[in-house]
Amino acid sequence: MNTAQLWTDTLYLLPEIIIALTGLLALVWDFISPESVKKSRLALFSLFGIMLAAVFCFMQAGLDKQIFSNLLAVDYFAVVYKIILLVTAGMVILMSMNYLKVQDTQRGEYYVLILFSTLGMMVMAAATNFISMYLGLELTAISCYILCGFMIKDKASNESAIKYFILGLFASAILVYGISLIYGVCGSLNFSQIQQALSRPGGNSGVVLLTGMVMLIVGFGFKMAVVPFHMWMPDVYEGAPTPVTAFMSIGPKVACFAVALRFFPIAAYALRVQWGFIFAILAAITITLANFHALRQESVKRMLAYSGISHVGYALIGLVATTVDRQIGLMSVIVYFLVYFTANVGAFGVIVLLCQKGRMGEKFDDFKGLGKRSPFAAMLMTIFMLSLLGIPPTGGFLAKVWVFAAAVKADYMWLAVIGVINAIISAYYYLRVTVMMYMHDPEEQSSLSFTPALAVALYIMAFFTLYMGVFPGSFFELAKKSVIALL
Amino acid sequence: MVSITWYLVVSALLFTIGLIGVLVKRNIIMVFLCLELMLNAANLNMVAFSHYSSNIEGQIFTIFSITVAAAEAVVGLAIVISLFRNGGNINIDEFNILKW
Amino acid sequence: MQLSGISIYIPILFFIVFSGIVAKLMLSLGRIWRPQNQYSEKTSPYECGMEPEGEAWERVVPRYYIYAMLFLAFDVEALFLFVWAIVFDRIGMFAFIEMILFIAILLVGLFYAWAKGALDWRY
Repeated sequence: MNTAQLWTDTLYLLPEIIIALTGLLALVWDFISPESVKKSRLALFSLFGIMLAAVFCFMQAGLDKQIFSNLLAVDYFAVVYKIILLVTAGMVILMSMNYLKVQDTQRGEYYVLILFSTLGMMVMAAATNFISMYLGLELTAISCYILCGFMIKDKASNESAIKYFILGLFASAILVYGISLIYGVCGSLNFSQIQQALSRPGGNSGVVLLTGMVMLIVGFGFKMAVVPFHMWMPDVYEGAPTPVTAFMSIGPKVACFAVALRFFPIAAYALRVQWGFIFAILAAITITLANFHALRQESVKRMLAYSGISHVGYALIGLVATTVDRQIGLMSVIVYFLVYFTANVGAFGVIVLLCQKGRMGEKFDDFKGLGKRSPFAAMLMTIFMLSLLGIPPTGGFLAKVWVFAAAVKADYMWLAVIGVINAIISAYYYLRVTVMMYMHDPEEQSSLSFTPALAVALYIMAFFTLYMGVFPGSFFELAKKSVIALL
Repeated sequence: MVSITWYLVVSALLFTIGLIGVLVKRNIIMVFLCLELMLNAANLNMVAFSHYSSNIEGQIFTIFSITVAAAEAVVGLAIVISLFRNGGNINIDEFNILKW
Repeated sequence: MQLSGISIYIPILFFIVFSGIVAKLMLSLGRIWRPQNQYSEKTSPYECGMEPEGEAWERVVPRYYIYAMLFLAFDVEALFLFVWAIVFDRIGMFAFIEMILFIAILLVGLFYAWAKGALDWRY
């Protein structure tokens, strides 16, 4: 073992180290400072750490290295995903400052857990080995379990945490068992060595290998909440504090997809017929069932949970398309997540804004007359809804077109048709929010009070949602570069 | 040398017992124990494969997996305690505030 | 005799069966030979001790769980120390600093638990 190599490899880990240090310092700061010190300073400190980490991430763009004996990769793909995750974490912290003040739960551990969870996701985005992937996955999951149950006195929050915990652990167990079978057949946990083992003649068949693959897909399915493994998700989302829901609707899914994009189209390319078939069917049921559930929800938070499930289905279409043309398929998934995350964080941000003392602001009724109470919030919410629905000039339109085009190019015409039909159906529940906001009278006249931090977060997200729709060029360039790094 | 099939049979049995337990048991602590059983079945697989293919990675994975499982157990118990303090019940069937 | 494959476990199978038989045998012999005069003092849990109070299945104070949880976490994390000790002489300084960092992170956790009062015993 070359020791000098280890020292230089550590330097490439700087963004992760910064996030970990910020988290630890925030924890220490939280328990040594007296109660009177404002906890919002901790939020600002965490934001500072996240920004610093993002700067170092940007500096890594263009590198293409494997560090710590192929445990982690530092490449363009990892950088793009890390930036998405860091921005999500930053926006969630901005939202939480408002939410925690309204809910009277100003506790420092909240920000620490968000930071640790982000750290786990960053490790996942860079993982090129099942060991590092598993560590990242569990760090993310464990922090999220605690965040879900953060409102200790609230029974719904408790219940959400225990449900998430049990099903999360269940998924991990299946995932690890699948990994162990794949390890047994391929003789390595490293993605590139698995790729070599599978591409040997006769290396891509056998009952053990296929069982392992299926268990891996089931495990990922649970983590990404793909139908039929989604049943935990709406419950967990509803019970968890809203900013945490926003965080969980992006972070773990995006990170899981990062691993899936590194594993399935690259390492397991020799098995593309098998996983392509499974994912195609999963995508079709996911989109359809999630859509029909979303239609009959009365809570916007729950509706967004189901809509999140269906968006994972759309992204899966892109993954299926990689079986034929890897570049187009991978690019479509990356673009899809870039668009989805801005619109989704924004939509949850508006719910946080509506959450005032004694009123959670989660029901469709709470949106009644928002156009009169706060034209600003209503306009932003409309932008986010249009983007989630996929109407130009928002980014959602381009993302959906790309995914469907990739599916058509890969000869998955039926999948594209199902996608388009469902996109049309989804208009009902997205536009319902808009109708509530503009065509109904407000139930209460009081004006909304919110912090500038929340407004900043919403503005940034809305700006990017529109920017991606109007000037998509630079984002395609980003996706293209990251895919080239991967292939 | 014992053939690897036996290890796989034992781990598959453990995994199945755990899986059935998770689906059948109503007490949270029992469900939790069954989940640990499933995880350890996978660990057994890892170590067995690692031994037979003389590749050390499987054993490294197991060390991480054991420590992660401990951390998970701690968090899980903490959640169960806070649930217990609020409601005084740890029966899975009773968790029905949130409905789909 | 040279055993191979799964048959190396045959002695263990014998051992399990034999120990079962011996245990059963001793208990049954005892039942046959012992004097049969049972009275209430004889069947009490502590024949010459205090009378036990309450049920054996008593609810444990939740405090115990917090200690158990802390113990579990810190105990298992020590697993890495063994692995580290084996390769320590080969990667030297780097391993040393890594382990110091690892323990420092664990210490932050311990101090957190301390500061939050998880280590005070209150009834």
